[in-house]
Amino acid sequence: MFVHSLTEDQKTHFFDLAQQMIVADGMVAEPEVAYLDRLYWEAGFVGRAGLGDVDAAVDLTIFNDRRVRLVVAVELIIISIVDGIYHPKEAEFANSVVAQFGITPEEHAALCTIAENAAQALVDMRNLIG
Amino acid sequence: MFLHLLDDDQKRAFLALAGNMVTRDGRADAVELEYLKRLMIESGLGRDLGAIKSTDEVNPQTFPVRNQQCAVVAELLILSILDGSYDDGEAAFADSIVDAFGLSADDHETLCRIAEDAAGALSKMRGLVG
Repeated sequence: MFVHSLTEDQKTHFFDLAQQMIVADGMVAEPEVAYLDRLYWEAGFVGRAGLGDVDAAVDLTIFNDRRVRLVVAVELIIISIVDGIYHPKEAEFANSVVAQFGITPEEHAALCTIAENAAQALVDMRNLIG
Repeated sequence: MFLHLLDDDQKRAFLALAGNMVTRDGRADAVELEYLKRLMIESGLGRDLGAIKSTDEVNPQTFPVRNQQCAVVAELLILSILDGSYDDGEAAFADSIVDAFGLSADDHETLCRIAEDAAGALSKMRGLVG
């Protein structure tokens, strides 16, 4: 929902993180992949989406201001809950990124609320159109 | 959020309806224009809002599939409530499109809920990142 505001390099690094989030719980759920596809569309990456090394550390310093860090964090949380399950491993991954970004507990709580609203809209739409 | 369900011609037809929705209440609010710009980016049809030809005439045959109809209505509803108000003119326009598509009252209610959740996420994120 928000990746359009990232630079091209930031988008590339974000998608590396997103792929790591998707495999964090040991399974790849269809709704997670569907949302990731949608983000590729939004980012203008359709047709050139790369597969990153999900074990390689992502350089987070490219996310160099608060707004960008909040965008990345909220998108990762949306991905993690869009399948209806917030697996402990996904939470651990999200919490690690949030901590490295220096996001406050209040901001983290706000991001979770935003992610829940967004994920609910996506789930309801999926249920509506089948 | 849902334009990936449309082909390019349908995206153009949708953007014409969106252009009309934005000015429906007699003013083009900044948050509505921001979302319209985001929709243009998501559509992949450019970034020039001036390229949008506004119309209130919807041809149901342009959107023959229910999925596409739901995507169009959901996006128009999101656009209409993003500024925090749902003007009578905006509601009448949305209702006319729902009627033209032959969507049920239940579908309409679900789409309103989807739009409220999505607009809530967008609005809260805007409040958080400034």
